[in-house]
Amino acid sequence: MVEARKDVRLQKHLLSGETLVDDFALGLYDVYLTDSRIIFFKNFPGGFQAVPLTDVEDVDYLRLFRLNELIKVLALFIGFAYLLLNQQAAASVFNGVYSCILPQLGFLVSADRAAHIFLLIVLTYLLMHLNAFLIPFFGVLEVHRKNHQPLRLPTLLSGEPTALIKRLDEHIMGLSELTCEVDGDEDDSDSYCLRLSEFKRKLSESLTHMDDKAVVSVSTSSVDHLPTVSALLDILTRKRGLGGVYISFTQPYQYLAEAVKQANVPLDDLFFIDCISKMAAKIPSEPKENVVFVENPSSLEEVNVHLNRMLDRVSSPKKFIFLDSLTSLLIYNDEKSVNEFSHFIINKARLSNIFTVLLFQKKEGAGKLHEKVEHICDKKIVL
Amino acid sequence: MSDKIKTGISNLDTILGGGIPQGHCVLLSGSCGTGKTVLSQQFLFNNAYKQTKGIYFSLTEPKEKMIQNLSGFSFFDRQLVDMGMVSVLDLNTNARLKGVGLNNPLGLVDVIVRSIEENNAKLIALDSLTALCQSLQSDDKIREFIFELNLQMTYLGCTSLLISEIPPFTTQYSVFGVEEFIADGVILLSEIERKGDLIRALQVIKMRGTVHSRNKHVLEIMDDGINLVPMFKSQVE
Repeated sequence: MVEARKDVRLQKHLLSGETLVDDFALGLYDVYLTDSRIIFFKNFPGGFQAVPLTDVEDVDYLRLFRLNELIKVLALFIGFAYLLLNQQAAASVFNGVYSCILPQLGFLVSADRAAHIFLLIVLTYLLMHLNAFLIPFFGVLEVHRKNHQPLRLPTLLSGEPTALIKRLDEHIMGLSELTCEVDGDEDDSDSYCLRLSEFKRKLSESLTHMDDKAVVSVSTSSVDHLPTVSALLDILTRKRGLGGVYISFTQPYQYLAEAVKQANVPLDDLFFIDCISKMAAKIPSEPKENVVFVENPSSLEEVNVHLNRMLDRVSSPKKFIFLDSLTSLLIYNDEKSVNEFSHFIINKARLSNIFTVLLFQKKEGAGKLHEKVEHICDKKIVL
Repeated sequence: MSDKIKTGISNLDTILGGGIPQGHCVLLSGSCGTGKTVLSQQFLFNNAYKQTKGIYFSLTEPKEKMIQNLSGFSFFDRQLVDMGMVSVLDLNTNARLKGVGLNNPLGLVDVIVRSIEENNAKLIALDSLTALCQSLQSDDKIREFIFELNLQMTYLGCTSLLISEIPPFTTQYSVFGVEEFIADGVILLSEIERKGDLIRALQVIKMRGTVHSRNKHVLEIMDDGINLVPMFKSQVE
C-alpha cells in the first residue's frame, strides 16, 4: 500500500535532487526517509509533515498510560449513561445551570431539548478525554528537534515498533552505533572491543558517494578518536581515491603516523601538518617529506600557508582536507577565531573542489561552535 | 594604467592589483626582521628568471655574506648572479670609486643611473634608503635625491624598491618623514604581537596607478621565500 501511494504523494513533495533512501508504515503514518529529511504522511484524516535531518536530535516512541484521563473518561461515561437513562434529571441539571448563568432571560427550554443539549455537552467531553487517553496509550512517535518543539505523532499502533524506530535512529545518525563488548569478568572494565568492519562499512556508505567538494562534520568520542580517524582516512584514500592534507591539532605526527600505518592506510599521497609537536619541542631531527611542523596551534595563518603548499604537492587531482579537531583547536584559540578559521577552510575547499572533513569530539564543550559550523556542512555524522 | 611588473611573490601581485606599475619608486618600509631584504631580493630573482635584469644596491651587507644568506631560498640561483641577471653592487664603494660623496644627492643618483645603464637593468632594490638618507643628512637633500631618482627611474622605465628602516611597532613609514610623500608606492612590513608570538604582516599603504588591497596580510618566510595569507580578523581583536 505504501508502494502504490509513494509515486503520487511523494513525488509531489520531494525536493529537487532529494533521494529516497527508505520507507515504511508506522501506524497512522507512512514514513519516508530521504537523504535530507524525514517525511510523514498521515493516512487518516490526511496530512504531511517534513523534518530536516539537520534539525532532528533524536526519536522516541512513547506509550503513556494516563490514569487521570482514564478516571475522567470513566466518570464522564457513568455520568453520561445516567443522564441518558434519566432524561428528566438531565433536563433539570441543565435548566438549573442555565438559569444561574443567565437569570435575566427567565425562560427555560423544554425538558426534552434541555436533556438533549446536556447529553451532547457531556458526550463531547467524554469523547475529548477518551481521545486524550487513547492516543498516547496506543503510541506516540516523538521527534526531538534542535530548533523547535518536539513533534508528536500519534501512531495508534498496537505493538512496539522497535525495528522501525531503530531504522529511524540509524537514518538520523547516519551510521549504526558502535557496539561495545566487554571481554572477561564483569570487573574487567578496561576491556574495549569495536566492530570496526561494521562501523567502517556504514561510514563508507555515508561518504563514498558524496560530492567531491562536500563538507562533512564528524563527531566522535575521545575514546573512538583514532579508530575513527583511521577509518575515515582509509575511506578517503582507498575508497574515494583522494590525496590530501591532514591537519592535526590533537595528536603529534609520530603517534598519528604509527596508528595510520597500522590501519594500512596508504601514505604516499597523504601529507600532514602537525601543530602539536613543535610546542613540545619534539620534532624529528631529520626533516620528513610529507610533514611540516607549525609553531603552535594558534598560528592559524601559518597553517594556511602550509596547507596551500601541501595541497600543491598532492598528486591526485581529487583532494581532501582533514581537520583534527576543531574541539582541540578551542583549547588554544577562542571560539570566534576557530569559527572564522573553519569557515575560511570550508570556503577555500569548496572553491577548489576539495572534500573536507571536520572532526569534533563529542561532549567536549564545543556545542555552540559545532552548531555554527555544521549548518554549512553538507553532512553531519555522529558516532 | 601602465604596464605592471609582477613580483612573483605568492599573493602579492593579487594584493597589488596585478603587480607594481612599471617605472614606480616604491618604498618598502619595515623594522628589522620583517622581511624587507628577502622581499626585495625575491622580487629581483623572480624577474631575473624571466630575463629581466635587476640590481641590488647594498649599503648594509657585503655581497658574499648576502649571497650566503640567500642560498637557503629556492628562488636563489647563483648562476643568475654570475650571469649578471641580478647584480649585487655596494653603493658605498661604487660612489667612492666614481669620486661621489655620499652627501651628494645628484651624484648618488648619477652613480645609480650609470649602473643601471651599464647593466641594462630594469629593476633595482636599494638597501637601504634610510642609510643613504642618513649620509645626506638634510631633508632638502633627501627630497632632492628621491625626486631626482624617481624622475630618472621613470625616464629609464626602471622600477625601484627603496628599503626604509623604521622602528618597530610604529605608524611611520620612514625615519625622516619625507620619503613616503615622493614615492609612488608604500608597502609596509610590520610585526604584530599575538599571545606572545611575533607575527609578520604586510600592508600596501599606497600604490599609484593600480587598484590595490589595503588589507593586512600575514607574511611567512619559508624556504621558497615570502608567502602571504589573509590575516584572521578575530585573532587581532
